[in-house]
Amino acid sequence: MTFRKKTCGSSEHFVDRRAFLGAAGAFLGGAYGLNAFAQPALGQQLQRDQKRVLMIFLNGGMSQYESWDPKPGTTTGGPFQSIPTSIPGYRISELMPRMAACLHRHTAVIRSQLAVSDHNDATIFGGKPKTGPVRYPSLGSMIAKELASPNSQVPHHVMFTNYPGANYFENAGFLGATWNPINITPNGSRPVMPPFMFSEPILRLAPPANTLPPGLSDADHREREALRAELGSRFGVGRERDGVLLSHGGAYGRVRGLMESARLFDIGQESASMRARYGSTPFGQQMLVARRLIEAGVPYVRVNRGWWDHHGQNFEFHQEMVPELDHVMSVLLEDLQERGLLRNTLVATFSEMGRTPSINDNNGRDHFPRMSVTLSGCGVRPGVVYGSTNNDGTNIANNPVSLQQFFATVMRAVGIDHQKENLNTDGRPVPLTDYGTQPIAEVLA
Amino acid sequence: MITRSLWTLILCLATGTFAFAQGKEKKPAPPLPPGPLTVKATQEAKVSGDILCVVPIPGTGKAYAGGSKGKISLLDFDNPKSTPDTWDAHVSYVSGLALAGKVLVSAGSDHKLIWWNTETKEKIREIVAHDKKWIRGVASSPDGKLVASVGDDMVCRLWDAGSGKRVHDLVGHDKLIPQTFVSKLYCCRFSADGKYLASGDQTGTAIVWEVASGKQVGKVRAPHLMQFDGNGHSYGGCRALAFSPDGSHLALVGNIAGDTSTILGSKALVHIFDWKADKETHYLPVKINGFFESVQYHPKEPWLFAGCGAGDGKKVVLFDLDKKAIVQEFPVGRPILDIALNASADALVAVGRTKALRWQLSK
Repeated sequence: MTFRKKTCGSSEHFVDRRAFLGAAGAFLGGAYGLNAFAQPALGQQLQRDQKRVLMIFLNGGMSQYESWDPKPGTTTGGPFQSIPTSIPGYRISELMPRMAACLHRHTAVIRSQLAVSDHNDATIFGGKPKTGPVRYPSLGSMIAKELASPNSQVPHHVMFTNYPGANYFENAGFLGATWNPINITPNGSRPVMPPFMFSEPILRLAPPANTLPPGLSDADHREREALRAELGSRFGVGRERDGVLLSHGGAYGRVRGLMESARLFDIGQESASMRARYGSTPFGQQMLVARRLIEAGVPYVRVNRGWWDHHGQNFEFHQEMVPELDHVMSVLLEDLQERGLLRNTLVATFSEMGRTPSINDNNGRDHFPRMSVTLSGCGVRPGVVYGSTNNDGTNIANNPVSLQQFFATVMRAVGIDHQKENLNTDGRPVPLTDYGTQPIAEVLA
Repeated sequence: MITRSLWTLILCLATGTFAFAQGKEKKPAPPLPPGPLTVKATQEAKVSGDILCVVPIPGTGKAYAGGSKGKISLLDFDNPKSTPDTWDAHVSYVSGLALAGKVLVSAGSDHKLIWWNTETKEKIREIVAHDKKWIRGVASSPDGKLVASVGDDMVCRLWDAGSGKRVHDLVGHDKLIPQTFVSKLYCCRFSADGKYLASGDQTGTAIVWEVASGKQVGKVRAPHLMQFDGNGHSYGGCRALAFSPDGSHLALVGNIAGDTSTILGSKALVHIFDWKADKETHYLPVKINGFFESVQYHPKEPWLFAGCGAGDGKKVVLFDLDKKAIVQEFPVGRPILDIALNASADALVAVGRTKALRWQLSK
């Protein structure tokens, strides 16, 4: 499919019938926002039309050997066995029996994903530089902007973390702060890099301060917001193109929506059986809240699970963490399927890197710029295993996938034109993915 | 303007202490005085790959060793240039070996417990012993009549060494750590008189079982052996344990976590209890980045050997338990994954990453 040429270099002017109807439908959904599921017809409409992305980011770099690309019986393979999956001929680690059983239903696996070799946010920024005149946006911010409903009352970009390590925060760059995520981190602000020790993880399931402080009534708050909006609109006269001002005003404008969305972050709204189904780990509980957000129409939710950087005791840690991923991911896919949401929700697993074939003296694996990733649900051809590595996993055997290709594939899966251009701060067009980037056709439905 | 840090840099460069000032290089520890044991000879056997477990053959210079390639090798320390007699045993790591008379029992990460005829190298029987979970270790009773195994189903199982029949399922270790992740049962060991069996898990808990009845008769916990941190890691565990020669004390070894993913800053730890009284008698952290993965009491002296299995230790250390201090070191240069002292305490074997050493010792 080719995309229509733009009239003036900016996609902002390009509106076709489908886009118009989509935006109108999204506006309705956004306007009704939190009450959508109290009105079944509207809820169903949302389920039909609105695409979302749920990103599971495995911070620190999960081992492909102990997950999607095992090599048992080789010098690099480690102690775990592989098991057959529901995709004929494809085997994964014995640590993932639940995903092995349901892999054919919703999921495509990419075993040849190129990555980086150190802990940084390069992958989530598609390999774009963090310095220089153009401040590129991250994947989540780009997708949130494309999928968000105008005037939506729900947040459009949320990121969860259950540990205080490196989380590689999303940033909207030149798209403007409107598209930055709400970061729900253990300490509520950007944490320090590891090593960083707590005796216990500090679980956080909701943004801090999303309720009114004691002593401030709802009426008072509304009056203050009305006054701020009035003053802001007067100040904004003649400054309609000032992106900073727009972001500032927009952020205030979303405060009520965020406060009213407090119940979305309230895991207590779920039944005990549903909470038990996701499990009691922080990752499981955050994933359940993430599902609630997806269900309510939040277009981009990222849940971080770390810390996979196992330079020591790699197998002990993976024995603990991979089964948790297996459990939570399989439950999430089941739950989304049962609710009719998987058709319109893309679930991705992604990271910054994989782990080395060699096993070091600490029984660990080090950094390796190759990894396996998955895409499940919306727009994905299930049961595809794309790319492969050689016998001992020391290199990619065929079909290497660049970060830009991965981004393009994610975007196309949810109906975004991956070559769409946004204007950066000095007015130059910047495509969502590099010009000429091709999504992986074999992975797309 | 010259800042304070620049003055510091100039001073360090001038005095040659820059590396120390930057904290990038440790000051070497002073050498230990001569230890109580004299090393008469150090013998190295040829090995292929990593050796995870070893069991000496009494009265010989030989030992069976299990490795990461799934093979069992008969190491001959008296003939270091000879290629070991090796056979395929498991499809994954050989995680434990126990010798019961002429029968060798191997445990594997492939979930299997296998009995071998040591004379013919033939498989006698093969059992999926722990609910398709990893088997972490195996031990034989002093009289060779029983074999114990531990696996990640968190059950310690007693087997008749001859018939392979299950004698007792010893259930008592928690299946989950307090943070609800699955736990791991790392090790087991019989007391010298064969009356007791101890098993140790990831939380640093050791349970003592009465062999005859299969009843739990003691339980100790070494809390420092496990940490759960904000990065979502549980770490450590009781990696090995040993009864004192009189059976009154139980030594648990492992690690006090530092940075849980890199092991940096961690200390190897020996923790000893009077298990009947549930009372700690020794707490011996050692400032080496790594784990103690193996431990053994000296049969006659108040000494304890511990092998450092990961990090920068790469040596066997000998503790004098009266002095509560390390009194001798046996460098290996590679991480050590198992040690074994023979009954007469005149030969110590250490195996690990691509290495197998035997020291002939005298007092």
